[in-house]
Amino acid sequence: MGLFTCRNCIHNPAQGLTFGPGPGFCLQWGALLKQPDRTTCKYLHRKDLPHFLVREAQVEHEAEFAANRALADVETHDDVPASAFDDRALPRAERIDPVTRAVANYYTLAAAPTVPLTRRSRLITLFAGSRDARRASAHACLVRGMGDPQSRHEWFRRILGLIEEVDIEFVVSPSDLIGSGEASKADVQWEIANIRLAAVQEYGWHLGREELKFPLNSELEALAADQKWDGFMAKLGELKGEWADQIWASPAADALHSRLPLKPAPLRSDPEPRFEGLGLRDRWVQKGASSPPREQN
Amino acid sequence: MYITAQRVRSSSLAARQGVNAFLNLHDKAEARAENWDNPSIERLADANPGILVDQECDVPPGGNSVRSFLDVVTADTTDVSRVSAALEAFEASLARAPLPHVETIDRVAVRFNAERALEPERIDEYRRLKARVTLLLERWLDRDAKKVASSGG
Repeated sequence: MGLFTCRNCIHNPAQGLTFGPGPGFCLQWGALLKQPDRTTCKYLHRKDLPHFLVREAQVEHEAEFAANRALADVETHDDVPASAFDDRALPRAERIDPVTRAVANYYTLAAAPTVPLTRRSRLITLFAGSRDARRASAHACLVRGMGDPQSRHEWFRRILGLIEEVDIEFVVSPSDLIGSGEASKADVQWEIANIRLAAVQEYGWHLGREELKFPLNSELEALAADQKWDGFMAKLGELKGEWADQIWASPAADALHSRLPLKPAPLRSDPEPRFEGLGLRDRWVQKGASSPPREQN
Repeated sequence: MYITAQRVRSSSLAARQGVNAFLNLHDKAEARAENWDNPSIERLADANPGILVDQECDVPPGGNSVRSFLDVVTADTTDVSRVSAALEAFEASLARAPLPHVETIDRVAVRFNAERALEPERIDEYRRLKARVTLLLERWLDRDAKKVASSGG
């Protein structure tokens, strides 16, 4: 398994080690990943575990690829040229699937330097609440990837949203699986559950809350070890309220989200914005001539 | 007589907006074919507008989107005061009427329409167009009167 490939990086949010065949999309470089199981880079941020648990391995990986400016082949260390996303230019065989396209479009909307942090953060919510396995993964990774000091108040909001959906079941369709028979639906389920939990754990690390850094109690761990999916999800449903309460109660969180609430979107005074015109164009009429001054578009 | 004022928006990137107004007269042959006591504004404006004799344009005409328009049709001999009175009465009924609103008042047929984005301010929009119609009509009649005076008639 390519634990240090783009497949297992949060910057490629809609793919995983067991799901998401075909090309992926890297939010770090804004590039298509034609062979996500063969590429990597020094900024890899592992999906499967929280950063504080794999720090040493990641530092080693960074050192290994420090000479490569951007994407590199994970075995040969050769630079891999980045190709931008342009759906029109892609040959039919290389067309990316709708979920990866959604990620690429998210990047297009969110990456512009003029896009404010609040809007970037709200774009993430477009992936929230999905019953699709790959979108569920994308949501968890996007929430996890936004953790920078400037956006902590937004991160706080998004992490609470992620905790809210941590026990939501999702659909794994056969087309989501990679390889032929290498991965099963259950593998995908457990991988995505781990991705969600790792996001909560990383947030707990930033808050300095042991309960969130290590959220699995003995009962939950036993259910995971025995691969009892239904029981595991039901237990998550019981625990998620406690996790949210811990975040709300945290003094550190108070400092992070002590900003004024965002202004609500304005109400419309009209029933709907209406842009349709009369469907008429004016005409040029010479003096002394007889011609109607308007015609249909 | 057919006078129209229309708010247009140019299709260029600058999207200039303004009011363009045109005054048309019907020659005697055309005039005879119409019933000027109850003129058909649809037929006259859209098919038989008469001869263009004067215009006042903020935006070069031709190919612009029309956002609103005010059409007035009446006999060439109708005086300004009757047209003004008809336009006042039309304004009073416009506030309650759906668009397009068409009404014939004292042998003056009036039609007003505006795109939906302008509907909430329809009265203001109507007044702006009405001012241009009145301006054009007064200017034409003033010019006509001077011509008659200079020719000794």
